[in-house]
Amino acid sequence: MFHGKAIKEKIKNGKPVVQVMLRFASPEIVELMALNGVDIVIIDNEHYPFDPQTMIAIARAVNAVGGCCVARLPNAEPARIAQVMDMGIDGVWLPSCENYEEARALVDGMKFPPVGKRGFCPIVRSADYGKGMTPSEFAAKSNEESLCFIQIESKSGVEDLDRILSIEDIDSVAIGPSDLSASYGFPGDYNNPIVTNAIKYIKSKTRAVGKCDGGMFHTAEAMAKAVASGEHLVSIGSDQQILMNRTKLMISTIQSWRENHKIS
Amino acid sequence: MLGRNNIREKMKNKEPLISCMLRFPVPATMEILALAGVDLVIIDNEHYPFNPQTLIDLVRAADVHGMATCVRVPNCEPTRIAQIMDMGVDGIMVPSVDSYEEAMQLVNAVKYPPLGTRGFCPITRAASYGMKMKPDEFAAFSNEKSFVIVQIETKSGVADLEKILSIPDVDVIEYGPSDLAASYGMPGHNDDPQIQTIVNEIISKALSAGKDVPYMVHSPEAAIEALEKGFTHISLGSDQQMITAGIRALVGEVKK
Repeated sequence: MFHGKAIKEKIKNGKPVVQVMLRFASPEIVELMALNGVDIVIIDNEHYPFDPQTMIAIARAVNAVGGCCVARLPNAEPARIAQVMDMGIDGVWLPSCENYEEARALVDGMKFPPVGKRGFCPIVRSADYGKGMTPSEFAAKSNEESLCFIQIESKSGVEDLDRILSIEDIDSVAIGPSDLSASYGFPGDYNNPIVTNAIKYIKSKTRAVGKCDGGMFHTAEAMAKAVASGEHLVSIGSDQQILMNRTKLMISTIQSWRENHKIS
Repeated sequence: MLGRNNIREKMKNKEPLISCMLRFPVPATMEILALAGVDLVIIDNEHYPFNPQTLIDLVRAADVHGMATCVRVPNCEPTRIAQIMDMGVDGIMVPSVDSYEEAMQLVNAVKYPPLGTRGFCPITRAASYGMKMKPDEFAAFSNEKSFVIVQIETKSGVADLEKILSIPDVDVIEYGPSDLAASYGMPGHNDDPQIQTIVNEIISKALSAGKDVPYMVHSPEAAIEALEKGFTHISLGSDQQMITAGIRALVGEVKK
């Protein structure tokens, strides 16, 4: 059960692909996301806890309604990447990629030989438990379809960008503005020219080699602008932010009406 | 935590309230609703599954941020209601209450004697494990602070409405337009004038009997409409509906 090729083709044909971060360990929220047009659910296991069994339940939930998911892991530790891939999760997202070697470790962890070094078990959930594919077919298909996402969030990642981008199996390069601003010595100062220039540099280099720059947006306006400017892989924040923003919108509407009518 | 927010008193005094249903067993969403300013979350265990241990975790998550909680259980079965009250929730909601007798069964399950017949254990989580009050004080406190929400969703419930409203410990009346329409032989026709008339009658009778009547809205515009009509207790729908609305607005922008 693979979905990566369809996603890669969509992007290549200029069709928008929507991804959203999942921060709450809820298969139900995943179903809601996929049913409402989200293409890729990113399970954020960098900052939020997920039990391994819950992760596989989440993969199943998203697959059941025809969507797919990618796991954001805290690092490129190979055994952990292999376990996640074995679950039938369609890819791995590595935050804070500092250099070529780390990006290479991600590819090595995700892909079977000859591309990488992932341990090979051809009867895992990802292989449909060995039904319908020969082991060699599974290995080839997994290598071809799996989604390899990295995030550049530091000065050293920017400095090694050319070498990182030379790795063919990296599909998308996202930017982490918060960590990036901190890494340049201006934490939170997103409008600092050094930070904005670094972001521009990452985006243009990434696009020039035909890879995606996955931007993250929290408002419909910002997203419309990004899509109009040719971004195909867009991220709409997370379940957490979506719930918080919607609840705040509803409550601020109610509270300001009450204030205007002197009810408190 | 039972009674901490005086939510029952606020319902009685028609003070401004905001409530929301919770349908997914995620303690973090409970925390977000609390931090965003929701006063009361009703966990929907009529239509959605919750493990008992998860329920108590959810209540604890709300308690961390001082938000009141209530559980919608599928019926008036007393032992289930007692178990949930023992967790420290502020109230119980029961759907489709069809008669005075059923409403009394609910009150009996929520309240200790002399008001009801709930089994008494004064060292549960609701009683702060017996650390804060003497048993008799806790029984009186729980009876005073706990609230009862009755949903009128059928023809027979409507027929018995006045008797149900006469029960002092029924604090809140909600109505269910979908089930009501079905019960009157018109499933799906929630907007039929006959159903609208019945809904309006439930609302006005409940309000004049001094009951709290929450009004459910799914958009900022609908919230303003409800406030202009004079409703003091606004319900935001559920986590499910708010996440859906948020996702749709964003995805819609990309996939026009």
